[in-house]
Amino acid sequence: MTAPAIETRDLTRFYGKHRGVEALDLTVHGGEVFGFLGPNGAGKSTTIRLLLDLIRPTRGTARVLGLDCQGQGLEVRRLVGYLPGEYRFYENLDGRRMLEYLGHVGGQVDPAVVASLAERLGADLQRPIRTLSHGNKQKLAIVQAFMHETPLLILDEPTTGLDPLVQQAFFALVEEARAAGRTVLLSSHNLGEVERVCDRFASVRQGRLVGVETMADLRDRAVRLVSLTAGRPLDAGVFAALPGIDDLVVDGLTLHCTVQGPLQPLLAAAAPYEVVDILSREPNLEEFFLALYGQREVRHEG
Amino acid sequence: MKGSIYLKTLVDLRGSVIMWSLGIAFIGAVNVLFFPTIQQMEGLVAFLDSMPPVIKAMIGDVSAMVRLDGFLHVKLFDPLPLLLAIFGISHGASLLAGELEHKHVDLLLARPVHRWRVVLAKFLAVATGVAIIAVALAATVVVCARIIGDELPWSHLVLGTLNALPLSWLFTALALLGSSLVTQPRPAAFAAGAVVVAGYVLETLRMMSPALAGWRTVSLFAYQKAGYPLVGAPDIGAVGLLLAVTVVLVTAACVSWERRDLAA
Repeated sequence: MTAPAIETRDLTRFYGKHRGVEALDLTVHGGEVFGFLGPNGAGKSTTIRLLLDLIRPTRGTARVLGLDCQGQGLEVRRLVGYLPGEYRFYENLDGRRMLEYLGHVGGQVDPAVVASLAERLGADLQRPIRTLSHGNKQKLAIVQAFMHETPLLILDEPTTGLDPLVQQAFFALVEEARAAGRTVLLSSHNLGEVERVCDRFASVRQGRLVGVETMADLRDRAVRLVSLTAGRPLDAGVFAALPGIDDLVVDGLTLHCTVQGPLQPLLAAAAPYEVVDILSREPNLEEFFLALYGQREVRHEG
Repeated sequence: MKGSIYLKTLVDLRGSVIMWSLGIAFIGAVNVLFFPTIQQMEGLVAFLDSMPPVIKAMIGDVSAMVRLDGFLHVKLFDPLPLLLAIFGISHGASLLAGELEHKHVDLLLARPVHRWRVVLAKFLAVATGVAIIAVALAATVVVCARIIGDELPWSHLVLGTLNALPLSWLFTALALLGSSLVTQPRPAAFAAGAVVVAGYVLETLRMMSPALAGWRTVSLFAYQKAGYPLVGAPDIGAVGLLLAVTVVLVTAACVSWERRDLAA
């Protein structure tokens, strides 16, 4: 049986009294794109740095492709392409020299692969890094993560600072990695980003695992925030009885609620009231957590 | 430079190495070019011979001051390790803590490379920088000695230059060890600098007071001063001991960095 791409058991890391991550049980299967979703400070980067043996666990274990992250850190790092959430390049180098340097520290890299990645992302390899914008530096960071063509990619907030076109190119790279059987752990605080590309995702909050879902589960349970304005006074009782409606507030001609599942029943019920305007949006991350999991904090993966 | 941490570090140091080399070469040139004037001073040896014993002890062979090798030993090569230590400490302290402070560390150490190799490569780069500066001084001395129509035996000059290196490397290694333990370069530099100052003060007091003669074994500068290779023979045992301590310190830095939890 093939070892999971990533497996953590009771993985815990405290910084003094502050909890980085606690009792994390996580399994990422080979060949999947796995989202690691949580707000800033939730413990995503701590978990990733534990996987790469940059920091050491307070307790618990972490394995990557069957290798112990602490005992076999060198072998683990040989198998991982990593994009840190927080980094700074050597500003005195240009992009090409920087990638050459990082590419050959403890390994080899195919210049053709680097050139191809740079071209697809529009990364400028000629200019000194100190003159590049944050977005252009992020392109280089993505190139250095992908250039070794490793079986596992760990990407911490990869789309930060990227414009929509480059984001599209980045997601294409992730799709290609999946098609090639590589595994991707994509850490993000952006729900839409995870929804767009991941097969499954884990939600973390305040250093604890909240849940692990497939994207199909998420879509089934998709929650939208709806605000509706009608031409005639609305009857709250009509809407309260609809399936999937929650947090309903009706005030004369306006209605606010969350809708889980399709919007059709709500629209049908509102039609007789002469709908003037309707606004529907995805919840932000905190609203998403509350809607999906309520106040429940921890759920160990089954 | 492809993938070589040693070469990358050395390239990063090039500006500093060039400036230091020019500075030390200038000092060397001034000393050599002014030596004929010093040499012609009447009664110099008698004047130096009238100095208190402690000063004479610091100078060494007073009669040698009217020879170029003796003069340069006192004026240049004896304090050379102290100067080189300033370069070594200022850069050694930032080798590892600087990676953390500047947030380069995740990109570098996420590569499949042993951390100890990073430490060793970076130390060797600074040690090379120290050696280049010392060689720049020696080359300047050769050229300027020819200008004034004097010359130094090559063997003595080479040995005098080499003799300055072990103590400088030792202090560089000390700063490196500090750098492996902290998150910012400054504390490592201060700690190593404090050891240098304490060692220099101890050595000075030791030479001034016979009561402190027993402290010789713990005075690092005493080992460097054990030989007078520019005017005599180096003390191989003392040099070996300084090198051994350097190896121990670099090894300790490797172990410390290898075990280090890199939480910011």
